[in-house]
This record gives sequence, structure tokens and C-alpha cells, in this order.
Amino acid sequence: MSPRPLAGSRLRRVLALVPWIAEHPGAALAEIAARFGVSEGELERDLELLPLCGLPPYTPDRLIEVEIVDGHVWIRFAEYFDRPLRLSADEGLALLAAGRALLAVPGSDERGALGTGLDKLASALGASEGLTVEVGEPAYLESLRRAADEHERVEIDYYSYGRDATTTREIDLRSVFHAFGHWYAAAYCHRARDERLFRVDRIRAVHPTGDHFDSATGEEPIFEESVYHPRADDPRVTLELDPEATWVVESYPSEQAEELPGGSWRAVLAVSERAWLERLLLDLGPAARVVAPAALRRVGAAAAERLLTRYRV
Amino acid sequence: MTDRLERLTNLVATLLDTRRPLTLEEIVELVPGYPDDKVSYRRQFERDKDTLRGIGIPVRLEAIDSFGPEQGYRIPPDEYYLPSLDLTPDEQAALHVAVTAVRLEGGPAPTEALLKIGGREGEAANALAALPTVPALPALFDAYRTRSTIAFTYRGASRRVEPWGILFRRGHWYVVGHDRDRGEQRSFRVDRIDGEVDAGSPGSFEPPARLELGTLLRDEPWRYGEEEAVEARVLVDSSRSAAVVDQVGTAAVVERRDDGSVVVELPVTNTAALRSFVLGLLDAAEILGPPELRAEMVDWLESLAADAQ
Repeated sequence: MSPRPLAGSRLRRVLALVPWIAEHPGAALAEIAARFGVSEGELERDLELLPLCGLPPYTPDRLIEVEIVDGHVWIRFAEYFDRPLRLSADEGLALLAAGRALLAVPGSDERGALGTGLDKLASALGASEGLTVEVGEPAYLESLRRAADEHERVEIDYYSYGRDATTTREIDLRSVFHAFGHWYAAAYCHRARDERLFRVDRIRAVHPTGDHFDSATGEEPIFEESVYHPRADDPRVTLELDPEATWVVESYPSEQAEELPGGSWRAVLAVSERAWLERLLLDLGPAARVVAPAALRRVGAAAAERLLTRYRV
Repeated sequence: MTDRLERLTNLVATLLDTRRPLTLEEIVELVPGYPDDKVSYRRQFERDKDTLRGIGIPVRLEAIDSFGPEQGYRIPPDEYYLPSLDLTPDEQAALHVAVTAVRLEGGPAPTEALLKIGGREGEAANALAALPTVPALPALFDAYRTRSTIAFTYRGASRRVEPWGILFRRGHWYVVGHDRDRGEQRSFRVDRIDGEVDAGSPGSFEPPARLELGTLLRDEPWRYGEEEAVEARVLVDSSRSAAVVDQVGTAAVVERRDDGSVVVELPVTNTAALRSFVLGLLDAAEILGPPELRAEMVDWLESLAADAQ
């Protein structure tokens, strides 16, 4: 039978809160409960147990003393618990990584309380220089975060990677967040008349409009990668891929894929944008051929010819 | 019937307070709540010990004295206690904001760790960022802070590395350090490490002083290769220049033109990867030099243009 996790997590909490209460004599039950994320009832159950604990031979002078008067708590005679349990490697890493990430966000004050607190923590962990978190500094991050905070509608120039084109649109920002290594702006787009997710590093200009919008407050961002889901009416392309290009079958949602004699593959992929197919074919070069439809057979060659004009001036 | 939490609390206090390791028999005698029967108390103690170790308490089995073979248990105080941090209330509150603003996907909740260092001061923050985690990360972090050399398999080859630190960039974690077999500084993407990371004994190296991991990391694909290094000059049109500079860093910019385009100079040891990068920019970029690299690109495009005719 494996140990019950409940006893472990309660013990963990007791070993964290006893040192804190001992150091803050007379702290209020309500404050302690909020600080350690438990209900007052749970906290009282933990505290009721402590006077039964101590050191052998468990005579009154060897037991922990807990006094609760008018909702305030005193703990005495628990010197062996006067410091908390050290942080494990993953706990120390989690705290430092979260703090360093926030400190790396443009606009943070490196010499502020977060910076000095992290320095103390890092030096106690013996990790002063060896943990760095970079979150990037796209040009319009700060103006977008400000517009989201102030509920100001903005006009943006946005480069769509899939279409390889820039468009202008008005958006109402819901939230700006960092996930999967990039900054995203979640917003209602007046051009699309729908919610959209924008990569902040592909925003090429932000213009304030002076208008404000109503927004539900306290909306939490949804950390989801904008994955392409093929639509039924997106064109399909059939590719023949040499063995060195078969990673395509694993990397993109292919609707049919069959191996041919000799290790080549034939795969059917949905294509939402021509620029996406151009990039793929230019990158694969002679290792891929469009089999069908006939109208897309020369997409790669035409793109190559177009790019060559830059090199023939 | 003794509450299990009560027995565990007493067990921790007793093992922390003892001057010498205690045998199993001494422990069940001293700490109330263990059954009388030998098979039962042994099993009970094993479960308790696993629970303590499960929450990170260092329960050690050591020789009781230097004369006999008898072994006993204790918790070494210097391994148990958190060093004093002396955080001010402001610092405590700032850390609370940090652990609520930044989520670690798939890792331990940093809010749990916060309880050990004094709990939640002040207000929580709205979520602002999510960082992925990788299973090998805590082991690498621990190896760095204890200065232990690590051994692991990477792209099919075994590596022995002195870890100088770990770094998160563009969605990936890297370990940066000195590769002992190659005698050079190298970086490795943590999610591409195959299997377990073995850490050697602590204190086996010292990282360079005043280290800036960010400047050491080479994560651009065109620097992942063993070809002889060349400096590639790439012209990027205004439509994509900001994003490219964001990616390669301002230090790589050698020219800014009036029309908003930029010329970047990139050290390349993998020309196929550079070609992919430039082609990904479609009409917005071209390789200016050196001439061999530009000629290779022209050949590539010409073979493609001719192929389908």
C-alpha cells in the first residue's frame, strides 16, 4: 500500500506554518489561513494536533505549546521547527523561473522588490547566475499592454505569416500574454468580427483611436497555441516526398499518407494559404513534387522564379 | 489510536533533534503510535519514511558509530533547514505576484514552494505568462547549483558537460556549459536530451565568473552545424525587418537603409538551415554575400524553377 498523499501534504503545510507563526507571535488565524491557502477550520485542526507533538519522553515540558486567544495564535517550545524545510530542486527552480520571467518582462524594475527578493533566494539556492529566462521584447508590447489595461481600442498593422501580407484592423484587446516562447494579444477584431489571437512580434504599428470599449473584467488569458485546423473547403494538395522530406508527414496534419516502394511517401495536405505551400516547396526543393491538383503543380517553380528576380538584377 | 500526522510530526522532530542515528527499534520505542509486532512496525515505518522523503525531507541511513556495523536513521539539520532568506514584506509580496503571474506548465506549482518561504503576502496577480517545463530540468538545475558534472545522451552521442546554467529562450530550455569531451563551450536543448541525466559528485568544477548565459547561447539553427564558419550577409525588406531583428538581435545589424530594410550579418555553420530561414521570408529577403553562398541560393532556386517545367 502506498503512503496516503493527504498525510504528506498536511505535514508539509504544518512544517511551513509552524516556523512562520513562531516568528510572528499573536498572528490572527484568518491571516495565517489566507497566507497558507487553507480554510480556518483546517488550520484549527492542524493547530489542535500540535500540542500532542514534541520530543520523547513527551512530558509537558517537551511538548509544543499552542495558545489561541480571541482568534490570535502563539506557538512556543518548537525550536526544532524554527526554520522551514529547505526548497527541493524543482521548488527552487519553479520560484526562481517564475520570478526571473516576470523580471524579464519589459517595463519591470530590476532594482525593485522582486529583483532584490530573487537575489536573496538565488544566493540561498547557490544559483546566483545560472538561471536566465528570456521572454523577448517585441516593439509594441508595452503600448499593447497599456491599451489592454485602459480598454482603449487600437488600430494595428498586422503581418499575417500564413498569407505573407500586411493588413490594418481595429482591435479591442482582451489580454496580452507570453506562451510557447512568444507574446500574443487576444482581442476582438472588428475586421474579422470575431475573437482573434495575434502574435505581438508580427504587429508592425499600433495607433490609438481614442475610443474605449466595454470589457468583462478579470478575464484570464487562455494559453493555447493557435494551431491550424483544416476547414472542409480548404484546397487539398497531393505531394510526393522523397525519404529525406518525410518529416512533413509527421509535422503537418496529412489526411492521407501512404509509403511508396523505395521509401518515398505520397501525402494529401490541406492548404489554407498559397504562401504556406510556397515556403514548404521552396524549403524542400527537389525532395518534393506536387502531384495534384494540376493548378498547383507549378507553385514551387513559380515562387522560385519570382525570388530569382531579386538575384538577377 | 494516534493520528498519522501526529506520528509523522513527532518522527520528524525526533530525527531532527537526535545527536546520533537512531535504530528502527529505538524509533518505534520513542515515537508513539507504532504497532508492537515487528513485521507491522517495520512496514509502518517504511511507509512513514517514504512519506517524509516524498515531501523532500532528507532521512539518512548512517552507521551509528565507527565501531560496529549497526545502522540508524536521522535527519541532518544542515540538510533539512532552509537558509534564512530575510525577505522583506515587499519582497515576499513581489514573489507572490510572480508565482501567480507566471505559470509553469507541467511542473510543480510555484505557489506551493512559496508557502515554505513565508506564504502569500499581498495580492495575487492575473496570469501573464506560461513557461513549459521539461522533466530533466530540476536535475540539471540541481547539478548546476551543486557544481556536479552531468552525463547524458544527445542526438545519439554521449556527452559529459559541466553545467554553467540553464536558460529559457523562444519557448525552449537550454543547458549551457563546458563539454568535457569536445573541450569547448556548448549548449543543448533540454527537450532533446535522450533519457536520464546522470549527475556526478558535487563540487567538481567552477563556472566562469560574471557569466552571462544569454550571450553564450547559440540557438539559431544556422549555427547548429559543423561546417566551416562563414559570415552571411542577408538583406531583409522593411516588411519583415523588425521581426528578423527581434529574432537575431540588434548586434547582428550591420546596416539600416532609409527604406526601412536592414542588412544582418550572421555566423553560419549550417548553410542548409540559413537557406531555410531566408526562403521562409519569401520575397522579403535575399542573401547578399559571400558570393559562394549567394551562388548556392541561386543554384537551389534555379533547379527548382527548372524542375517543374
